[in-house]
Amino acid sequence: MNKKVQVVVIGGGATGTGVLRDLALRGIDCLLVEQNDLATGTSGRFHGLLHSGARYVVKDLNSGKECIEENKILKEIAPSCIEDTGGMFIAAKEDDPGYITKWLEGCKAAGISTKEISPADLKDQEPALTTEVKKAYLVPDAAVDGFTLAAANVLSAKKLGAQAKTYTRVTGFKIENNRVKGVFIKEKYTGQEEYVECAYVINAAGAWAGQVAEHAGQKLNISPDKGVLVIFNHRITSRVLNRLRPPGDGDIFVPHGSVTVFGTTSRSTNSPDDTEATRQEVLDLLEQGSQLIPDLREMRLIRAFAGVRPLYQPDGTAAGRGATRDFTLINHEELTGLEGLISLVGGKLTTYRLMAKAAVDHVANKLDVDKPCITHREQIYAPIVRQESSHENRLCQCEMVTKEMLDKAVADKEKFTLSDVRRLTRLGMGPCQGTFCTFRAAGYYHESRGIDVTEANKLLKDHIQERWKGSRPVLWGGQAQEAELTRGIYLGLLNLERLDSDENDL
Amino acid sequence: MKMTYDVVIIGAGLAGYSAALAAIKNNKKVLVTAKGLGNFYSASGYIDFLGYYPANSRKPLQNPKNSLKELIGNNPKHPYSLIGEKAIEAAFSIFLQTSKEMGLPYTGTMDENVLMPSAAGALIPTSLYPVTADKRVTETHELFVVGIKEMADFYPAYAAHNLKKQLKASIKHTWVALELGIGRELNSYDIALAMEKAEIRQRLVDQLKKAAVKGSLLAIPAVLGVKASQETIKNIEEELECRVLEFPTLPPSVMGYRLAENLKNYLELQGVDFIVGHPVSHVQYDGRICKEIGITTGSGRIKKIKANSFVLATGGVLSEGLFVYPGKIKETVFGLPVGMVQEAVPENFFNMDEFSISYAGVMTNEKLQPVKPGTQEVLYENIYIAGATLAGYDPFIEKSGNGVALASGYKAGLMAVTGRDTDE
Repeated sequence: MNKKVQVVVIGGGATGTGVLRDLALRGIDCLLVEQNDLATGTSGRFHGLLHSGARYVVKDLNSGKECIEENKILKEIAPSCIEDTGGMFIAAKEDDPGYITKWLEGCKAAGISTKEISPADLKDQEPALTTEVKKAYLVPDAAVDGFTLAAANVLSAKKLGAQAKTYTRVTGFKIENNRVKGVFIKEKYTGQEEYVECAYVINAAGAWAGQVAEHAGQKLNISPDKGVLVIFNHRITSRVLNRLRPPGDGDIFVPHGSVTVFGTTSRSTNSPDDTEATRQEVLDLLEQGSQLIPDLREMRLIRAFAGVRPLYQPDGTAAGRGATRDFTLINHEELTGLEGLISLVGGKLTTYRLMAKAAVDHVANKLDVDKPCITHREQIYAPIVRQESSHENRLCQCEMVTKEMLDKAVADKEKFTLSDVRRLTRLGMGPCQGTFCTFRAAGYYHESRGIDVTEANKLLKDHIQERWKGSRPVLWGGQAQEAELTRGIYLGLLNLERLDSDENDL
Repeated sequence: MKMTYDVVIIGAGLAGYSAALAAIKNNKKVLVTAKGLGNFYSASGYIDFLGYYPANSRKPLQNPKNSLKELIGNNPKHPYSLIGEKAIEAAFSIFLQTSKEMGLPYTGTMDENVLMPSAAGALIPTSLYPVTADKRVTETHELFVVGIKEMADFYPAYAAHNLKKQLKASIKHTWVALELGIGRELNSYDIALAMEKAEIRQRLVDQLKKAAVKGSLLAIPAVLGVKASQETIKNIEEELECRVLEFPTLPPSVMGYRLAENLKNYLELQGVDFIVGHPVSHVQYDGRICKEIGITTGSGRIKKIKANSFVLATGGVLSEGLFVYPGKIKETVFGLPVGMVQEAVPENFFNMDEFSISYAGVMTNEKLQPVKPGTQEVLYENIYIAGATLAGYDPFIEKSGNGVALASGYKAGLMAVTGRDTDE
């Protein structure tokens, strides 16, 4: 690794990886560091909705405009990360008709196409919906895979010479004469520490941006805001479903692969690492959602999780739904006189490219690079294209993941977890939540990669444990049965709970 | 259409079949009714009596029968304590006898746990097993682990390397390819079906000859034929001059399938009637006596069935004998109260605390009649509970699933025949 780059980017979510690609496309030498795997923060813990912008037009027209522009661009440049499902906004009988008028005006002003569909046609196309639909409109929403998007940004940047280090955290800044000179980083697995000299640091650590800024002696007023989401074992609707009312809890359904993501909530939390959902939060969500999908409570939940929005409050006032979803570029030089550091906070995944552009425009100017942003014109390359999945050698039936995909997912990795593989391939993300494919993947990697058997056992156990964590708040109905099947296999049949203990002999 | 039986058994798993066996041996008119096939297909075909005691112990029991006394003394609510040592012994002995009569002979004893390899290569204790599996990996010097290329659920190197950590033997492993040309990965049942063909078996034998397995113990997933597994194993052993040990696979379990089919055929020959595929849709009581159940058949008609006694052997959460709702668990046929429900879900999947969803169930007295949790008040006098519907044990951790099913099924079947007579 080069110990000297022009720009260090901190954070491997959509924003950070977008910044890396933009820097690389302008020929700026750059390194990204991420404390975990790519997209393990908020970019991997959201509903996966590529907004049309219609959700924002009433309260924040500018956000709506930004969303629709970015929505069109991303569909062009990142088709392998997006499933263009289309979206719909549904007003139920209790929803305010006055809001519908304002919403239609807003969509028109933002340039978002809306097409009214009759409740009868809609029922025909989306049989799970309530029959009590007052008004329904189709909009250009889509489903976006945050994991693939982050990985694709990094791969595209790497092709241009950029570097990225995952499982590496920033432990400090070197500051001389009120100017950032470089960062100290530490690798998680090896414990190795290094110093990287740079001219500029872009802090894109999302909900962790405040913690990063603190290393440079800077204070950032980030209020972490928790959003709970649940996953159902099938596609409830074929399109993204939004409720046509002021944004609230439990009003977005997004079909992904073989499942549906439904959310969210908005509650202040103390920690960006507060990513566990509780049973009560799930039950509250279901209560809301069943107004649109009457049979929702009978449908099989496979897991629940939470993401933390990095809401930025310059004056520390508005919180929750009242806080802006817009992004802010903080130039620390203007705030405290510290040169060489900017923080990019707030925003949403749909507008990540625009956020990256704003940051890189600023830095390019400082570095005297006059190449303009071209991220809206260049294709993004996903490392694993799902359409390549063949019938043969499938190890994950639910998400059609093959041995070849598993090989690709770890080709450039010394050490990995099955969760890293899952984020790239969707292994174990489907209805069975890894019950069968975890055993298969561990056995396959043990042999194909020559992994020590104790390590392979750990690979397996960690993944089953990770899936377990998500299913704990939703252990009822079909998911309780699935949990029993998983226990029956991994404990009852395989006796893995006792493997690697030296007492298991007579 | 009205049908009348002495004993009606609800559930077609090992507990239900064991109850049917006990009842038919007493010359009663017996019906087994179930909404689906039992749990044979996701459990191993071995009868694990008691692998570990206490349940979270790391060391397998050498002599489970000795520990049973301790368990009965310390855990009065465990199904084994309610069933009692005498009935457990009788159940095991009748099963061994029946297995010979039905043509799938089992062997083993309650005095000993044999350590068998699991598909991950962990050793796992069991008490009874088919005679074809009467081989000890713990006493073998040369072990050869075989995987089948087309089968997605077994990795011979992985199992062999884990076994290597626990055994002193020389352990080798290899893949064989059956060249089935099906173009998708296959499960154990698919492979077992293919193995019914002599030509496919020969491919296995030819490749293993090249791998030079002579004189060793060959450990192979349980896929050596669906039906004629005993002859298949014998032939392979003769041709290769080695011994063959089949071990249980991930579901579908071919060993479990063989046990289910043989038991069912045997029970049918003995005169047990079967109605499988329809759930119980209504129940009629007279005070604390269940008079009749109704089954809604495919045509929508309700079949009414009267009986003197009923055995409830519908299984636990996995088989929908119990159903979990947020914050509560319900018994699905009679709506019996479910006891031993804990709120907490363990944080760690692999920790060995007994898990509430497995542990919860219907509480009974020593006759296996359902009682109100926390009391000895019998709820229904002629309903007897067997198998995973019972509360008070975690079969996956203590390795007792098929043992409890067999013993409680036998006792419930016996009580269904004699229980009320002794009362009156």
